[in-house]
Amino acid sequence: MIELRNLTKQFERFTAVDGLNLTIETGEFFGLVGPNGAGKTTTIGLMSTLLLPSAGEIRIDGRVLSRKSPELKRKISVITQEYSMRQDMNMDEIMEYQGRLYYMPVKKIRARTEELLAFCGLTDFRKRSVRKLSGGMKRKLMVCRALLTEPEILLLDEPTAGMDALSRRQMWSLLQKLNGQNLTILLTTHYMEEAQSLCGRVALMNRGKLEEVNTPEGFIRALGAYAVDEVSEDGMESRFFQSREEAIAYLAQTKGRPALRDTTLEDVFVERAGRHLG
Amino acid sequence: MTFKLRKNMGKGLEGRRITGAANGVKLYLHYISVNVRCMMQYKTSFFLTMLGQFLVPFQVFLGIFFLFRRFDRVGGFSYSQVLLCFSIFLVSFSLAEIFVRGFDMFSGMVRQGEFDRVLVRPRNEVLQVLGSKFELNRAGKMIQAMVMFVYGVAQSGVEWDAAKILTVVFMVLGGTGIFSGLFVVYASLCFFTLEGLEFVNIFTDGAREFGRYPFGVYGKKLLLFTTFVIPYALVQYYPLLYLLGRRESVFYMFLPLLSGWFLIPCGLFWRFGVRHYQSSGS
Amino acid sequence: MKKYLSFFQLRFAMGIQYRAAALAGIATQFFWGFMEIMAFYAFYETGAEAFPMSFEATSTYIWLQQSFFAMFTVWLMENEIFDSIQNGNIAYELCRPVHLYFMWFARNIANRMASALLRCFPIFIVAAFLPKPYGLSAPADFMNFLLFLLTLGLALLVTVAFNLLVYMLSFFTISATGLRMIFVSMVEFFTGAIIPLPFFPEKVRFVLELLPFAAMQNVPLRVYSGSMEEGRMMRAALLQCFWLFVLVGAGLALWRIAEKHVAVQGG
Repeated sequence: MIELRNLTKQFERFTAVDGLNLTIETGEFFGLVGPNGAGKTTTIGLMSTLLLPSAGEIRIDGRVLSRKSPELKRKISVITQEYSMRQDMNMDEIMEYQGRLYYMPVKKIRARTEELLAFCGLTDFRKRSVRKLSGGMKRKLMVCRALLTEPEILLLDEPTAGMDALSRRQMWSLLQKLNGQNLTILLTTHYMEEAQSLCGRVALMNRGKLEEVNTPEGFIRALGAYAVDEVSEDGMESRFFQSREEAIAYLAQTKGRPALRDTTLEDVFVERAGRHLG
Repeated sequence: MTFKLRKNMGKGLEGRRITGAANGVKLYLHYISVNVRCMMQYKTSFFLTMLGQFLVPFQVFLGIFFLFRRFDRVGGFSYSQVLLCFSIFLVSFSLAEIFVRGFDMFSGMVRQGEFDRVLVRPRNEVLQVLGSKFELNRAGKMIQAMVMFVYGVAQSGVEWDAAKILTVVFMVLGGTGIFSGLFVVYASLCFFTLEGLEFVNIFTDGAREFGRYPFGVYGKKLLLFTTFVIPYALVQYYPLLYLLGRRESVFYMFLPLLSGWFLIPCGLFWRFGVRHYQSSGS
Repeated sequence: MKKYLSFFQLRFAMGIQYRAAALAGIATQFFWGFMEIMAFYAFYETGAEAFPMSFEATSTYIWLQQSFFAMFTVWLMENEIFDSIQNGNIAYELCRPVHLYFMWFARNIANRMASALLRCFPIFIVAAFLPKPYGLSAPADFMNFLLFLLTLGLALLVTVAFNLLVYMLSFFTISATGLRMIFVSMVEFFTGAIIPLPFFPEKVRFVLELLPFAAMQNVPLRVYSGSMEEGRMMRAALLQCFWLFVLVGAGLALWRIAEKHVAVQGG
């Protein structure tokens, strides 16, 4: 279980994360979403101990997380947005490099590398150097590397950013498999579709503060489960309705070419963002 | 394909942990092999850089060569004696550059947040910084040094015996130690500021450049500085006098080892810097 | 023309900002000058007769060399330019309505002047107040000083023209760094940066003084202390002009070829 208690991070005069209070249960698939600058990446950085909190604390299974608690740190693996791997090494070498850093005996590294590369579908490419891998393969390799040390918690910062649709689906299915085996997963993302399909619960952050935590369905129901899109001279407008009947009733009395669909998490996000600006 | 996370999640790594130091050495050797493998992937660039490295002291050598066409001695030392002095000192510098380059290039690590990643990992940070770079192509300087050394050995009129040979070994060891210590000091300064640190080059590249002549030729004050503040003279000047037979006492042979004291303040400053960096947050 | 002036101004303003680096640079140059002079003094003690010029003149040469180091040093080039040539981004620059050769030329001069201006005065002032043989002496006479300024300007132009030639050559090589490293290190030697050209043996010196590299710093440094007769000074300045034309000509010619090359490649 992960608890964030009053977590705060300040950079010079800018407060990136402001008094965050959050509890994530073991085995949850949790999403952090929000506009740019909301503090999502900083939160991940704090949880991986890449950054140190200015105030507040993080507790893993009741114990405080710090840079000096190696047993706790071993439970967490992080996959960052940037590709932080040496370009000239191939997959086997990257895995070996990581394993050695964590005191793993070479035989064990080799065995797990076999398993993990197969799990991620990368076995055929194992001798290619990182430089020659596509973005999607690099991401999968980072997942393999993160899993090498058998963590309990996986932190992912924008795991499918810049990926093509096929790779994205493959990554989703991979993460779902892992979560199915009781790995706690926390991810940040800009893709609401991703948050909606993968996450059990989603936290909406804005300007360092936590706005709301709910299940995707909860968010959607609050807005209205059905949406009608209308195209006018001012662009596209969406309206949301709690029941299908209300939506259809509205449809009937509009002109033009409206469309009826299910509300998505993205709609929730856009509506909230629009309200802030307006 | 089935895949199961193990039962000992997060704990399975304790396993059999070999003693810290031995494991550290293994990791360091692994780092070296990774660095060399990566370097050898670009063979032409490697050899071009080696050549470039060779040319840097080669120019200095040419300078000495042409000056000695005009002059006979400098501060009482002849051409071959100067070459002997320069070559030994240059070998120490290259060794330090090859092995300790990670500290020499440390500003990049801090600036790009790489050092934060280093601190997150469960291994000693010095080991990781040392392992981050192993620039074998700096050996180009050593090739130049070797050529000069051979000439110097042959022509300088030294009466070689076991003690004298040991002296040369100590000079190299001591010199490598001092240069490494200075690289560590430079890296430690990076924790406090990243601007204007070029002045540290005075003590590393500058010393290498002006160490082409025995430090005694530059006057009394400099000799005092290089004896007591940064102990270059202990690894370059005094042992040289012993090699050339101008001093008889065997004490001079061990002077380079005495210069090891310098590493202590360097190491302490590094510790201080790391602590300062961690407490001030990243 | 106005365009290029503005490039110059921009770079110059940027260059002036680096104060901490400038301070470090001043300290470094000062140290270097001091040590070089002490080394020469060690040679002087036992070999004064072999000196090609007086010890004062030697010290002056070295101090001038150090104070204008930022201007004279051959390898002050912009890495971004090499990178953009290597990875093809240079194609975007070609879309602009400027002549790349002259834009880079203006930028290079600005970089050098900004760095030099920041650093030269402190060194001048301190060196001028040092005790006689070790310090910076006044120029031989006013005419010499004027000629010094003229040849200094020419030296700057020749150095920059050489830099531009290297930029142009890098269009035709696959790996710029290796070649650059070799090229540049030998060139520094020929300019007199390692040992002042007057200290070379006569025959060698004669050849070196004909090369373009001697025009990059040696000529103004020698003109300052008046160690050349008027005829020789004029010839040296004319030689600077000659090399300037040759280097600029070669650079522009290469540019014309490179321009087409890049366009065909498509970046």
